[in-house]
Amino acid sequence: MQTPILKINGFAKHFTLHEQGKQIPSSHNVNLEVYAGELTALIGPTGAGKSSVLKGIYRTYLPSAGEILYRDRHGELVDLAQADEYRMLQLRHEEIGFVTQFLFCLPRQSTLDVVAHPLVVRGECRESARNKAAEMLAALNLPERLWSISPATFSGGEKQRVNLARGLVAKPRLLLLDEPTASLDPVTAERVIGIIEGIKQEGVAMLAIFHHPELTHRLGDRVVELTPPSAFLKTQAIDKQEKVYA
Amino acid sequence: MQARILDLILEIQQERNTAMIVVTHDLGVIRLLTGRALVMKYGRVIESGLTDQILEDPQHAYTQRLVASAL
Repeated sequence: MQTPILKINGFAKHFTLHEQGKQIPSSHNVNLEVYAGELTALIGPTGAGKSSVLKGIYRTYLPSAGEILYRDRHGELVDLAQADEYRMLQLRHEEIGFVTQFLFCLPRQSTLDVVAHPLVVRGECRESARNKAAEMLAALNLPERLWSISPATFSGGEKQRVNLARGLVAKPRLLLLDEPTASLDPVTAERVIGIIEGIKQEGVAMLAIFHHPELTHRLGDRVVELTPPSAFLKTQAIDKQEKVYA
Repeated sequence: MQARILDLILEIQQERNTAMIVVTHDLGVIRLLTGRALVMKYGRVIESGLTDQILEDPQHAYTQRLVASAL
């Protein structure tokens, strides 16, 4: 049995809003594993804290509790919940990728350069990086006339393809995917499925949230179900005075 | 003009591997230029973290007000 690339024990996330004097619960008691060449799918209703898990791993959110044990490319085990900021930045540049629902990029960078960026950052020469970017954009059906302009004005579906291209071209050790096909037409979605299956063969470990159960069924090697906080809290003793969420 | 200056700063950093400190109130500039951010109040650092975390999951009451007021 191979060792997992990622093992999460007891991850929880809540938000403390000081101005409103409220604490908002999100993910609670999340346990999961992700293996090289496999995709673990997170399922559960809205509000169960699925995105919070991905963001907690990537450190966009600070975990409230739990261990996020990641095995890096040198075989070293690091708890991402405790790692210092420079270690997190190094891992983000070199090993851990995150395809979110939002595209953040420099305002005047061409689409081709946005997609090539993770490779350039790793030291690959710009020409070779751009060639790989072009291949990926073509595979995702993004018209070539869009490659030289900034993605800032693109439609939701176009932005999502740019986001995906950037995440997939880098072939990280661990890839986090937050609803990667949500705004895509069926033909492009099918292409994405093919690419994901391809990078599985190359050993990439993936943790994904899919909006459509069929994708979970087709791509998920492991499935982890999260339940929303209200369902959890109802089973707790109701002697607390504090109101917990809005 | 601002966009060109930001581009230039990033180009210099990439080419020369320069360490940089940016002092600004502009959260947009912070998000574009930096990987790590320190929040200061009355001469003290009250919070520090990765830039996207400071902007999306601020912990300190002051940081929360700062981020909320910029949106």
